[in-house]
Amino acid sequence: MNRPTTILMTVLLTCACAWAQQDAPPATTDQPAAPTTQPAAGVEQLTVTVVSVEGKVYYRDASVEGGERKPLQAGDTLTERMVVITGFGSKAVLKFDEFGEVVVNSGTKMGIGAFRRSQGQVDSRVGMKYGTMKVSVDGSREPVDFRVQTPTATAAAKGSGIFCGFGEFGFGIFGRAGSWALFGIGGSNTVQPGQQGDGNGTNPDALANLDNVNLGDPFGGLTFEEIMNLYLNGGGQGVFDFTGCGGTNPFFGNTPSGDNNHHTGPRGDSPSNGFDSPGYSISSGVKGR
Amino acid sequence: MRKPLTTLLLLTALAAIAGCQNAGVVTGGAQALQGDEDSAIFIDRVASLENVSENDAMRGVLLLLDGEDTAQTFQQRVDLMLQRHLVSPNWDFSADRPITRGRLAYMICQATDMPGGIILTLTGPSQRYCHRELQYRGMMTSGAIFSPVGGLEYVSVLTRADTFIRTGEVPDKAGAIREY
Repeated sequence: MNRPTTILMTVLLTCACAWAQQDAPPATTDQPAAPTTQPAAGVEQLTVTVVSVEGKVYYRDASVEGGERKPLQAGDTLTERMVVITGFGSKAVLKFDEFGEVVVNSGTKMGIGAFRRSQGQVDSRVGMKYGTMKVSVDGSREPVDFRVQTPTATAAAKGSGIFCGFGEFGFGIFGRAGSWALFGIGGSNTVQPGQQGDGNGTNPDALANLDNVNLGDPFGGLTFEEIMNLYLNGGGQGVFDFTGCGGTNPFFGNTPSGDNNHHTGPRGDSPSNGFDSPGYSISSGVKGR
Repeated sequence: MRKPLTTLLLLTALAAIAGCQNAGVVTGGAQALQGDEDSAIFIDRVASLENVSENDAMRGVLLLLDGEDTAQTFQQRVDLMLQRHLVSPNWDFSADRPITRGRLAYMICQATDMPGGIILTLTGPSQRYCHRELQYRGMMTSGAIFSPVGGLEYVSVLTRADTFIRTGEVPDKAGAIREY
């Protein structure tokens, strides 16, 4: 075979191969497309169980486009990408396996962004568009990274409890257990049980330093009821209060009298915490963990 | 002597007529809202609105109190609210007009039967003093009474009112109440 014939045959063969490749059906046609939310290897999906429901509560599967709202009932199980909404006088209690419990209060919209176990740690991401929730996290069995994300802030815990809410006042957090560190451009500080914080990096304005009111107990062995009693009434009613607490209305408007022992860093010195929230972040600083 | 008195009387009459000319007028009375909407679905819809209309605002208050809104039109809704003294008879009403903070405060004060301060107790409900009362109690943020109310703010205020009706306590911004 002379050289031009060889070149011609090579070109024809190449074209034929290209043609055949173009007409061939894709190898994965009969395979279902992998969902984008499918967990990677080594990731175990966990489920949320509905413990109780009061009033009008619905859920919707956000992973299904145009998914309809369905009434939520006790005993239902929820997975990632499910959204729960509550009406007036309504409440839903969700049990995050054995790692936490979320009480979704009335007038709230929340969603389960993630709830999975990977690399020996349980990760949970709960989003809240509006409303209030009471969150309890149990990190005694396994390491738990539990985060509540709102449009302006993220609260993260490894084994403690908070009340949290998001509305026109912004993000609000009230410590129930554990020690919570707040990071934001307003500086950094810590929220103890009985103290409150917000997404603006405002200093806790209740029990300015809980160590002062442990009444000689180095382990802080006060019950939550005792802490709340100090929080509500510890400042006394007179001019000379004794714990640095606020007045009788702890939630709004009262200027703490003992806020000189807050520890606030200069503006802009907040450490990078790796959170994906555009706003401020709150992370737990539970002692001994 | 007679002329200034006549002028004063005329001016007083004109002011009274001008001040009351819109009282009770309902614009868009035939406007209807989506049917079979319970509180959860209503809140979900309204929370994303830039401004809440008077029509939606009144439906929310009725849902808060009764759990349902039996009114078919805006006119019926206004009548229901007037019967229960949830709105002032001196107001004019427009279905599409954004609700103002003062009007929302008035409706919430009346719906929750909230005890007020001295002025509110002596003079009766008014937009100004209901607004101040709700701000004092931490139920509303500070602002002007003529400002329109956004969806998120509206939902938050109504949810706090819901908690107040059920518990007698105004929750803080984290949702905690004294009963913890």
